[in-house]
Amino acid sequence: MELENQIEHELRERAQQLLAENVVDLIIGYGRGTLPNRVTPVFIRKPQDANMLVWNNHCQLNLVSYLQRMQSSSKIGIVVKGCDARSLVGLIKEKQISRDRLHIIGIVCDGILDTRATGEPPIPYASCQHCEVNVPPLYDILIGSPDEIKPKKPSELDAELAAFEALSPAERWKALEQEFSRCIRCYACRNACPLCYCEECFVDQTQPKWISEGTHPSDIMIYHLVRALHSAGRCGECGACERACPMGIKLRLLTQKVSRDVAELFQDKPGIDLERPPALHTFSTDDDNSTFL
Amino acid sequence: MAKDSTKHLTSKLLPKKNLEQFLDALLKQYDVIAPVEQNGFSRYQKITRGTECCLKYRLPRNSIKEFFLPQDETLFFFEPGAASLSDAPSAKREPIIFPVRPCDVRALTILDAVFDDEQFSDSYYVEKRRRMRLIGMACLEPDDTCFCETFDINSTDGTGCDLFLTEVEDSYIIDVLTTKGKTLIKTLADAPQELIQKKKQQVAARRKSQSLKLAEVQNFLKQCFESELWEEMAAKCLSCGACAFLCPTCHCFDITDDVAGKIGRRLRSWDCCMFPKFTLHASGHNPRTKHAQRLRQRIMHKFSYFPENKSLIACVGCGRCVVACPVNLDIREILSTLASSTHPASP
Ligand code: SF4
Ligand code: SF4
Ligand code: SF4
Ligand code: SF4
Ligand code: SF4
Repeated sequence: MELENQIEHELRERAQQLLAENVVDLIIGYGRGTLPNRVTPVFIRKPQDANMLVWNNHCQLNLVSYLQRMQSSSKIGIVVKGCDARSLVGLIKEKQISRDRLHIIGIVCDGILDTRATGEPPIPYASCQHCEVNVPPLYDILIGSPDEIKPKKPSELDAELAAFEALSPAERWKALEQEFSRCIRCYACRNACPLCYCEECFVDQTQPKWISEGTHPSDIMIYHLVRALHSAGRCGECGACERACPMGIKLRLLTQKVSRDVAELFQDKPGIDLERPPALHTFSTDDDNSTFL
Repeated sequence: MAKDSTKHLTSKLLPKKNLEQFLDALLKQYDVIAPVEQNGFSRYQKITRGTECCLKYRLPRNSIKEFFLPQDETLFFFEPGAASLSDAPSAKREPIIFPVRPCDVRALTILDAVFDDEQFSDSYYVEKRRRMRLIGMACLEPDDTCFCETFDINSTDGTGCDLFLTEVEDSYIIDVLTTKGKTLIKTLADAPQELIQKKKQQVAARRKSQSLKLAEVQNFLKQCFESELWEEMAAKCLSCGACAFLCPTCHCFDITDDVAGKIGRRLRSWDCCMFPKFTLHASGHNPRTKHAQRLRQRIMHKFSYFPENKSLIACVGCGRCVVACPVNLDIREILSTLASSTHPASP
């Protein structure tokens, strides 16, 4: 049996067990999509439905973003990849969900294929090509074996991000303006991100009104820059925002760049350690102050 | 609006290798909007050279509605505190869209029903519609996500276009359908009879797109306002605007004032019933706080309210929302779930 199928098989078995034994009353996982390269979220409540679960290299969503909606379930099983688990750790630390309500089904992930790339053979998303968290940092059960994962090149930076970093600040601004000029302000990126959980996002506020409607470049940039700042030191680099974007905008130029800056300035990688407070939630006199104006 | 009614005038021949040249010639006089390659999809935008046009994908990711109902449209300028208004400048050159698929042409008739009916005529929309020339293109082969057949759209019929292209071997046969269209192809030769015959055969043999059963859906919609199905179907919806903003028929908008220093502009921008803010009242009350209520609105509007008010279904089966929905909430699946549902009717 192929590795993926083995994982899927075990996933269904474990899920069925968890539901049958009332360990959880709901499992959030991936199910078969309507298009060949897509999966879709499924919410499973009966043991006999556990065979709706799938696992393959198109499981691109971060299901953690559904957790806060599930208020009626007392114990939730959730299927997470390594990167998804990072945002889950973040949510627990930010007290958005209690660890006790979760049964985390971690999956050893070898990368998700980029559905946007048209070439053959299909390649993994840039964020997956350099992934360092193939094994989720937090789980109750782990499915899959870390030994079967091909070694990644975590030290190397993804080429597009490296090219972006090499630009001067003025050139970077231009590159961002160019990239975001396609933005239609659908907010799929924000809504797909588990860490964008504000009841009312600043872009939706009307009193005061921070940004205007429409597609003026300055409004679009404010949205993206403020979102990047709001997720600084929290973003788990799952790439769900970028994959949700219908206009193929490379959001990671911002999100991952900020993550790298945080890692460099505060020696912190968000979402790995449940005990360590998020970098921007604490202050130490040793903190790097070079970015203060 | 005095529309140039469609009537088959003549058929011209455009060898595919001359397409760029044809577009370059149009660009001398017109603004040309065409699909441009992005990263794995194409997008309608203004082009500056014929070579930019990319026909690799059947439907561009965005629809043509933004050229009639822009996402960001200045209705007029004003000076805060003063009593003077000034018009937003209008474009000088007349625009052309190339190519437009029959589903998107049908979508325009749906927008017409909103912005240009007997009672209300929106001058901003009407003016853009009047100036636009449409060069259509037949679909002999649908995409997997196409379901225009559901709405009786003939994907090889050019009604509503000024010119209509059908691919035959190494050429396009261009049907000239309006006098406005005629002015665009002055230099092209007539299509040879043999190719016209061939085109007819191809059109007859076209592969039709998916056809969903709508009668059951519409019956069910009349009685399912309180159905639990909405909650089930919307459980995964993110309430983003991807589906509505890319949809060629969704047309909800917001009007706001945007003041910067001494200049204000009244702005019309797209809005979307999937956003919670869409129905937020000034009192703070919101009648549609749940994902399910908003998804229901989107489906009801397209398949129940709009047909009742305008005798048109407000979906054309282009499948853009199917492709773009980040969580694969597929409208085709929603329709088949509704069609096969035996849930009890609400009181
Ligand atoms: S900002 Fe993007 S990459 Fe970061 S956690 Fe949110 S969805 Fe994931
Ligand atoms: S998902 Fe893409 S198009 Fe939508 S708001 Fe985000 S960046 Fe803009
Ligand atoms: S929906 Fe029909 S008309 Fe539209 S692109 Fe597909 S086949 Fe062509
Ligand atoms: S609802 Fe979807 S399939 Fe129907 S017209 Fe809109 S985008 Fe196309
Ligand atoms: S159906 Fe899909 S595209 Fe539409 S609002 Fe829901 S998640 Fe977004």
